[in-house]
Order: sequence, then structure tokens, then C-alpha cells
Amino acid sequence: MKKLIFLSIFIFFILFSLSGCMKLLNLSLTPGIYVAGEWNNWIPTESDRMILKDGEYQYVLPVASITFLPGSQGNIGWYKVIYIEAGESKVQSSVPIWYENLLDATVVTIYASPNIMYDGYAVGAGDSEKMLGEWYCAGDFNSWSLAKMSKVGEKFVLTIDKEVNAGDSYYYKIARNTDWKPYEEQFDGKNYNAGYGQDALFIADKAGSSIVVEYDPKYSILRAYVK
Amino acid sequence: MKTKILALLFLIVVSLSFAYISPSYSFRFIYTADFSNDYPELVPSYYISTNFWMNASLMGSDFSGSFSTSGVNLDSVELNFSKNNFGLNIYKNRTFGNTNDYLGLYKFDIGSDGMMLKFSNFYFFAYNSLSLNYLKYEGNNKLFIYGLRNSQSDFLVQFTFPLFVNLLFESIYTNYGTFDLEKGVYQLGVVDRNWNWGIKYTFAGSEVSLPDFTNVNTTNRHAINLWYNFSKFGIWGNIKSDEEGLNFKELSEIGINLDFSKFSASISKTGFNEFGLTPDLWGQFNITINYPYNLFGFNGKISYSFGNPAHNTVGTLGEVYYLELLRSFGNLSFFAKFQRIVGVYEIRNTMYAEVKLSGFSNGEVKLTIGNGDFYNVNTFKKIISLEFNTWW
Amino acid sequence: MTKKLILVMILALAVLSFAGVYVESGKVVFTFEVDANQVYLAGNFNNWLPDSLAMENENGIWKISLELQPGEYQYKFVIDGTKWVEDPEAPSYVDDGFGGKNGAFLLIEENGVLVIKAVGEESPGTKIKYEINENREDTIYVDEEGYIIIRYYNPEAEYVMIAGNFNDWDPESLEMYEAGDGWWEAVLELEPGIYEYKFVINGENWIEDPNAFAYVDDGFGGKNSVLAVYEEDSKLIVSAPREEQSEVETASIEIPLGVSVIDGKVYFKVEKKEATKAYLAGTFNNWDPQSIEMKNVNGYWQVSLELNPGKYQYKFVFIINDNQTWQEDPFAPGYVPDGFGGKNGIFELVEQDGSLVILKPEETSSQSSSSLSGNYSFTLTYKYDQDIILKGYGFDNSLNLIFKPSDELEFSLKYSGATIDNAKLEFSWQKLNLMAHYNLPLDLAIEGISSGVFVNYDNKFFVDIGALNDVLPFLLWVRFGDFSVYYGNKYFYGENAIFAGYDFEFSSIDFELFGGYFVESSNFAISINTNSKNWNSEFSYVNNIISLNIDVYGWEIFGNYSMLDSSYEISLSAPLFEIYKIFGGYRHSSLIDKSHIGFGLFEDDYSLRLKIRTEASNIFLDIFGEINF
Repeated sequence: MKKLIFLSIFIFFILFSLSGCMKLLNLSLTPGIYVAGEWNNWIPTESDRMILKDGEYQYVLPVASITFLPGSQGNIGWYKVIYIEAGESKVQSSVPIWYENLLDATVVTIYASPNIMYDGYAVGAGDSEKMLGEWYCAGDFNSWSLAKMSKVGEKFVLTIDKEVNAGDSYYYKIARNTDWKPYEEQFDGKNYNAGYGQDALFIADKAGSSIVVEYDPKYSILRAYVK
Repeated sequence: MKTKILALLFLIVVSLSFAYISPSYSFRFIYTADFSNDYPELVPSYYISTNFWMNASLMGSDFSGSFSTSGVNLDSVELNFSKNNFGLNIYKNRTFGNTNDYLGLYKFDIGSDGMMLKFSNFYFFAYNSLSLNYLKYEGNNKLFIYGLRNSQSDFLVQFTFPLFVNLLFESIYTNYGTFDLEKGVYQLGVVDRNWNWGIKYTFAGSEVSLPDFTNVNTTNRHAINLWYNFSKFGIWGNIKSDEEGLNFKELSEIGINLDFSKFSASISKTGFNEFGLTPDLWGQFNITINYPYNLFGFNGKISYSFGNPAHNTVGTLGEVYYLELLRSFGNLSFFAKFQRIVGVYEIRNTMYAEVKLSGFSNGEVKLTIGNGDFYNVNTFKKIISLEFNTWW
Repeated sequence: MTKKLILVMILALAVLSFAGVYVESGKVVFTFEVDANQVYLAGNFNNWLPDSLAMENENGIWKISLELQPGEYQYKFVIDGTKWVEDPEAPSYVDDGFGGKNGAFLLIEENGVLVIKAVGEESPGTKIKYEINENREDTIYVDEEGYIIIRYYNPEAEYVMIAGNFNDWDPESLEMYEAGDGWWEAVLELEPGIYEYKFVINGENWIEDPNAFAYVDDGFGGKNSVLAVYEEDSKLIVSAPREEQSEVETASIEIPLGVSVIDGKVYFKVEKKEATKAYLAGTFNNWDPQSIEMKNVNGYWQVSLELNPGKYQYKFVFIINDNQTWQEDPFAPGYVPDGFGGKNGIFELVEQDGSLVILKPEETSSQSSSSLSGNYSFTLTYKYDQDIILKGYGFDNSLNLIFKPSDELEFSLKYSGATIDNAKLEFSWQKLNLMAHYNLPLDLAIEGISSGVFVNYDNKFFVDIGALNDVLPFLLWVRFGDFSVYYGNKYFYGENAIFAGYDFEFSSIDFELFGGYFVESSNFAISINTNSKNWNSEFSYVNNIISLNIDVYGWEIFGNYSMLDSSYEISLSAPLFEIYKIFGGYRHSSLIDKSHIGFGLFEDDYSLRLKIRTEASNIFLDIFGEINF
């Protein structure tokens, strides 16, 4: 009985004393699409609003204002894109920026397309750092040995010659190097920093002789199809 | 060309030897229904995977070893030979090597190929899949390492003086080009003999060039770590600067752990630049309360934390609620955990549950819902899997 | 006062270090921390043989586990096979009859579980003899705060330290304070129990307390002072050890390193000084790296969980300088690969007689071992490099497994590199022997096709049939006594060939002759093998290559010469003592010259070799070997 009382007091304490704090801090941003990170303490202000340019939302982030910390390889900084609309908001999961891959770039351009964003996923927004350097792909279809993807336009593509039947399924993932490092930039089609067991799944919708994996770094879209 | 005795019918000569082998096998069958893939339409997908492992350990007159095969692959091998003072270990795709120093010169967390040669207290590690060789001497309270990495070499010296308290000294110096003290990391410490309290000072030079596989932190030019831990109470503090030796106020941190018999609590604060009345002006901090309970046959843990950042995945101020339930009915056990993160502009709920039927002599069946790694993934993953696990 | 406080705290913790002997999964585990090349365990369980039980070094701690029946045991450690030492952390000690002490313990079965007890608690026969000090002054007492004060008079001393089994006999850790007029004072916080101690004067002279309650033989011909601490009415009192002492297990619960079950809870304990935080992750929490935080208790990280019976895998997650480092438990009951080249600790929790017990995973799987044999070979290659001396160049290995579930059936598999390389399945039934071989040619004087089905009837009639795209290669041979005749259809080098073999003995030398003719290329092949008691030789001429191999008293010479491109090879190997060999060789071809020199160790069940070789201007180091099991 004593336990029960203690427990109820404890829960009461949690629910009503401190949770009130959060309500005081509700964001009062006008609808729009914003970028958050260490530079604004993850709370965007009007100056972090993305601008519609050439039909896409863009935000130019100076490299100097990103906080980079040592990662599994090199230094990693983080950001996320927040889309606020009356009644609905979509918050992207954190996206890494790999400092060493930027070489001498002084800015990172972040792109977003709010209608394909999905709350809690990284999908729908990406950046120029992801367009630099190499991407590798591994999956059930190539015994999980990371193979270099080739750059076709703005996308990274890997074609695997393999006889496929409709309904065949394959787990796969992309990474920056043949040793998966930096781990923070592994991507499973949903989130970056996709660790062990977090993979993309591809199910063949038709039969064919090759599988194509395609990654669009601009909007963090990873997909596969049968050719 | 083979030149062996003609009449030999059996192809492989196996010496009936003095060594023995004890294998163990495990087989896993996993059926997964995944409702979270194939963005933008989240369609259900079904997946069957199997996983067969054989692990065997070997024991011979002067050697021992183990190897594992996964499916049709020879996955990893370790062999240890020893004769008198001399030892040789061979590794194939195994994590091996350790520096055992306080700063953590090298860290090995994925498998490599290579060997370790040992003579008395001298150890020589040569890696085939990393560009690294190092020689280590490990004696009573002293440690020396000389490592070679391409055109650089690392020197490590560490002493512990076990007096009334432990006095620690460690220095790591990476040699390339001309000598410069800025190419080293140095640490001095005074630590209780049981490590219950201590103070350590670490200086990291500005020209340090350590590999990716290190635990040494070079982002703080000066760092002082203090801790005092006793059964019911612990306090710790880290006074840190940035790489230039500035910004102590912003980077330093302090924490308190309290352990009441019914529950435990911890408070920590990072940075002392800013401070205001309302939590949004508290800067980086964390308050956590843990309450282990046992109620109606369930046991588990309730915890609440309030902090900035709220969670590994949420950068803003926020709260994390966590509940864990565990109950067993004979051979059937039930486990579930729930997490709710309330950030400034994001609310993330996730849960994971598992029902496990054990009690078979060498097998178990498990049904799981969701993804249990709440630290890295904060949203509920619509995934159900049924796993049959056997071993013999 | 702060000094006193620190001293007291250190003392309180010193007595809680982990035991030298404990029971784990039904086995008695002995541990010993020492800097040595090899430590052996000797005791009345192995007739005090100094080198029969080699301990294993696990991160500086020597460890061995034995299956022992309940009973009384005495033991010592033997360092490097010569130096006998007692376990400083033994549950108890008995006189060894040579002026020293043996570690001693009683192994008792309680409720189906083995427990270790100190000797002397249960069996009065081996009780330690205390010599009571009749004429002592009262210099030892308990103060109001519960600290034990020991005073000692020595006006000549410059400084005095106290050492005893409460601080592992460390002569430098506990200083006594000057209390004036030549008196020195030690302040100790001790749990109830019996303690032995000495004073250390000026860092060199070890002296017993002239006012001690009692004395006991110190094992070095001297005496230790003895002090007993008892609790009465929740107050501590000090006295000489009481005769009727029947206390059970003074030191409360000691959690061993690794995994253990205590009071139905599963405890995990590990040492990692450099970590600032530690977590436990495993199949029980779906590998969440931060949900189970471990607590730092006296320099060890520990945590307890309530788990149901089942099989679990786990790892520790240490935070070292803000970096997450995953590491397996060095004391785990067993290991399985984690799929990333590392390993996970594994244990199986089972319910036995109503209480939880940890089983070692291997214990359930030893019955299949008799039918499995094989060998493993590896070659580790390094290339000489100016900067890092040895640069990793390659690792080749192969594992050959032979399953023989019954006399009639044999199945062999060879894994090479990453995949199955070759395989063989063999059935024997009366006079018939059937074999399927994949990627593995038959062991003939001349290499034939690599995959096929082989039939042997009564060791007289043989046929091997393979498969190529458009032809059916096969080899037929018949054996009459010492004669055999072969016909190969596209079997050797894609040609049709006829061969004959004849085995005979002449002046106690065995001769094996083998020769034949390739139909398409009109080439001859011949092979002559001779075998005698102390020497044998093999000569062959096949495919325009002449080769000769001679083995005399363990000296081996091998050479070959190709008539097509004038390339040749010669190598020599010589025995050294009984189990070593040195070897060297040279190979010339129109493209490249190679030479090598090496040294090897050849034992019955394994061989290890080191070879330095040159290829053009590169120098390589090969470490290679083979083990058989």
C-alpha cells in the first residue's frame, strides 16, 4: 500500500509539476519552413527560415556557424528541418554534416520539399554536403559488400545485375565508405545514423534482370526498383 | 602437382591427433512483417531470414582457438599458440588489441585480421587490415607503447604510483616532422585506490595527430575531471576548455547522483554562461529520476527526465517519460517499454514489446513489436517479428 | 580529521576486493593477479603437481576453473613453474608444513548449489591456532565513532606504518600518526572479523604488536598480531579471537567478475578504470546502449537485473572520454560472434531446483565432438615497409571439416577465404565406396578433373566421372595385385590418356612405377616413387616438367625444371633438434626470381612456420601454419 501511494505521488509529481514547463515554451513561429541546429540552440528564429528559390526551399548555412564534434570518423555537425503549418508540423530527424567531406566549401546549402517530408524521418530534406564525395551501397543482393555508386546527374546510382522475381525482398543501406564510416552518415531511407538492424527494404514489384538503387541527396530519398 | 602415394584412396590425410574440438551450433529463423518501408507509401512487407552459425573451440597441446562459420562463410578465427614465454595469436576478422591506458590511445571495435606476438610482458600487435603495428610493454603499474602508423609513430608512457592514493601519469606523443610538445596529450591524476574519488588533469596539444580509432579526446585543450562517489551519493565535475584553451564557462559541466533506496536521481549541468529563472534560460542541463517498482506482479522502472537537450535525438529542451514492464508466467515472459519525448516542437512516442516462450531445452520463441533501440530511434517502428532460436 | 576520514574510507573499501576463489556455473574458479609469464595451480586435487594445471591470463588476471567434488581443498600458485606462492585472497589458510601457508577452502553443497567456505569454520581439525597474549597492555580499543584505534610505543621510530590482511599487507598505504611521547596511533574502520597485522618501522622493519590480543604463525618463521572485531548490541568490540567462533561468511556478498546469480538476481560486474560511465546492453533490452546504467562500486562497474530463464547475449558500453566503446565481458561464461568481428558474451539462465543458475553454453554441446575432425591452415603475409616496418599484405586461410557420423558415411567441407571452397561426401558400404567430390581432384600422381563422382569396388575397380559442358570426362582403372591400368577420357589436361602402374619391392625398397601416354599431344608422363626405412624419393616427368623430391633422415630436397620455359625451382629443408626445421628455396622463371628462407616448429597436432621471401625487390614475411583436430 505504501508503495502504491509512493508510486501515485511520483507519477503525479512527474505529470503535473514539471510538464507544465513545456507549455510555457510553445513555439510562436509563423507557418513556414525552418532549419534548426546548435547555432540557434535548436530553436529556429525568423532568420532561420528557408527561402523558396527556383521552385525549391533553400537555406544557406555558413560552415563556420556549424558546431562540429568528433564522430566515428572525422567531425560531424547536425541540423534538422522543421515545417510549420497551421494545424500540422513536420519535424525532420537530425541530419549529419561531415566536416572533412566539405573540403574547402564555406557554405552548406540545405534543400527541402515540405510535401514529401515525413514527421520523424530525414526524408524530404537534404544538403549539398551529401552531394559531395562518394556513396556506397550494400545489401542482401550483393552479400553486404559495399559497392561504389556512380553519380548520375544529382543522384547516386548503383545497378546490380541479378535475376529478380516479383516479390523478392532485399534489405540494403548506403554509407560513405567501404568500412561504413562515418557511421553517422549511414542512411536507411528513413533516418541517418542508421545503426545495426536499421535497413531499407526493397520488394520487387516485377521480375527483371537488374536492381537499381538510387539516392537523391538533395531530398534524402533512397529507393530501389527493378529494371 | 601432386606427388603422393598412388594407391591412396582417401583424399585428405587427417592426422588422428591430440587436439579436440567442441562445436556448438545455433540456428535462427526470423519472420518479419515490416510496415515502415518503401517510402512514400508505407506498405506492409514480409521478410524471412535465417541465420546459421557454427562456433567451435579447439584445444591442443600448445594451442587453443576458436572459429565460427556463418552460413557458407568462414566468418572469424582466433588461434592462440604458446610455448614457454612465447605466445602467438592469429586473428581473422576478430576484434583484438588493447592499450589499456587511461586516455585510450587505440580503440578496436570491429574485426580485423592480424597477429599478436607475446614474449614475457612484451606484446607486439600487427594488423593486416589497419595501417598499424604497435609494441606494448605492460608491467606492474607501468605501460609503454610504441606504435607505427604510416609516416607517424605514437609513443605512450603511463605510470601509476600506488601510494596512499594512486598517482597517475600518462603521456601520448605522436611523432611526425619536428619535435613539438603540442603534438602530445598529457594527463596527471590523483585517484583513490578504489577509484571512488579522484582528480585528473589532461592537456591536449594543438598539433596532435591521432587516428580515427582512438578514445583520446583532443577537443579540449585543458580538462580537469573530478569525481567523488560513495554508496548513496556521487558528485562529479569536468572543467573543460575548447581547443584554443578558452570558453571554460561554456563547456564545463557538473553533476550529482543520488541513490535513495526507493529511487535514484541525477542532476547535471553543462555550461555556466547563461542562467535564468525559467528552464529555457538554464542552458544545457539534465534532471533524471529513476524509480524501480514492483507492483501487481509486474516489475520494472519508471523514469522521468527533464533537460536540454532532451534526448540524443532531440536537440531542444524537453522531457522524456519512460516506463518499463516485466512479468513472467512460468515459461512465458512479457516485457514492454514505452518512451515519450516532449520537445519544444516535437513529440515522439515509441514503444517496444516482446513475448518470449522459453523452457525448451535448447530453444526459444520470441514475438516482438517495434524497435528497442530508443537511444538512436525515437519513433515507433511498425515492425512485428517472430523469431525461432535454437542452439545445440 | 579529513585525513582520518579518508583513511577510514580507504580501509572500509579495501576489505571488499573480490575473492580469489569462487564458484561459477558449478565450477570452482581460481583467480590470481600477478605479473608472470605463466602461472600454474597446484593443490591436493592434482597431487601438488607444479605444472599440470596451467592458468590462463585474462587481462592480467590468471584464471582457471576446475570441476571439483565437495570436500576440503588446499592449493598454491606456482609462478613460472618454480616459485610457490599462496593466494593472497584465499578464503582461508592452513600451515603448509614448510613454514608457509596454503590457501584452503571447503567446498560444500547447499541446496544443490556448491558454496565455498573458509576452512576452520566447519571443521575444527584444521582450525588456526591462536596464541593468546597473556601480559598485554590495553592499547587497542574502539572509539565513540566506531573506529578501531591501535596504539604502539616506539620513541626511536621515524615513521610507522601498519600493514595487515585488511590492506593486502601493503606496507605503504596506512600510516600511523604520532600521538606524542613516542606513541603511534592507527585509526581503522573494520567490519567484524579476524584480522592479522604488523607494524612497519621506517619502511623496513616488520614487527608484531607487543600488546596484541593474540599471535599467529606468519608463515615466514615469525608471528602476526591478531585482532578480532565482534559486534555486540550493535556496537563493535575488540578482543582476542574467541574459541566458539561459528560465524558464517564474514564478508557479506561478494560479486564475482562477469555474470553471476545472487538471490535470484543476475549480477554483471566488470572492471574498467578509464570509463566515466558504463551501461549494459544485450538481447534483454534489445541492445539499447543507454537504458541500463551500471554503478561504480569500489572501482568496478556493476548492475543487477531480474531475468527469466533463457539464453542471453550482452556487451558493455563504456563511455571513455565521451566516446561510446562497446566491449565484451572478459569474464563471460561463453562467447558468440557479434557479426562485426567482435564477440558478444553469452550465458544461459536455467532454473534448477527452484533457483536460477547460469549454464555455460558449451556444456550443452559436447556430444557431437567425436564425429568431427579436420584441420585449419593460415598464411598471414606482411610486406616490409619503410615507415611501419610490417605492412599487412594478406590473410589466407582455410578450414577443413570432416564429419563422420558413422563408419559408412563421411562428409568433408573446406572453407577457404570467405566461402566454401571444396566439399566431399563419402559413403562406404561393404566393398563399395562411393564419393562425390567438388573442387577437389583425386590424389593421383597426375592431377585430374576437380569435381566428380567416384566409385571404388573392393579396391580393384575404380571409376571417376566428372562433368564438363559438352564432354563426359572419366577415369577408369583396374587393379590386379600390384598392377593397375588406367584409361582417362578428357580427364587429365583435357586429353585422352593411357597409364599403367606397378608396385614392387626390391632389396627392401618399395618401388611405385607409374607411366603413360597422352594421346592427342603424344606426350609421355612418368613417375617413380621409392620408399625405404630412412629415405624416400619421388621422381616425375609430366607435362614437360621434371621434378624430384628426396627425403633422407628428415632432410628434404625438392627441385623441378620446366622444359617449356626453362624455369626451375629448388628448395631444401633440414631438421633441427627434434621438432624444428629450417628451410630455404629459390625459384627462377623468365618473369621473376623468388627466394625464401624460413624456420618452423612441427608438433604432432600443429605446425608454425615463419618465412622471409623476396620477390623482385620486395621483401615479405609470411607466418603460416596448420593445426589438426
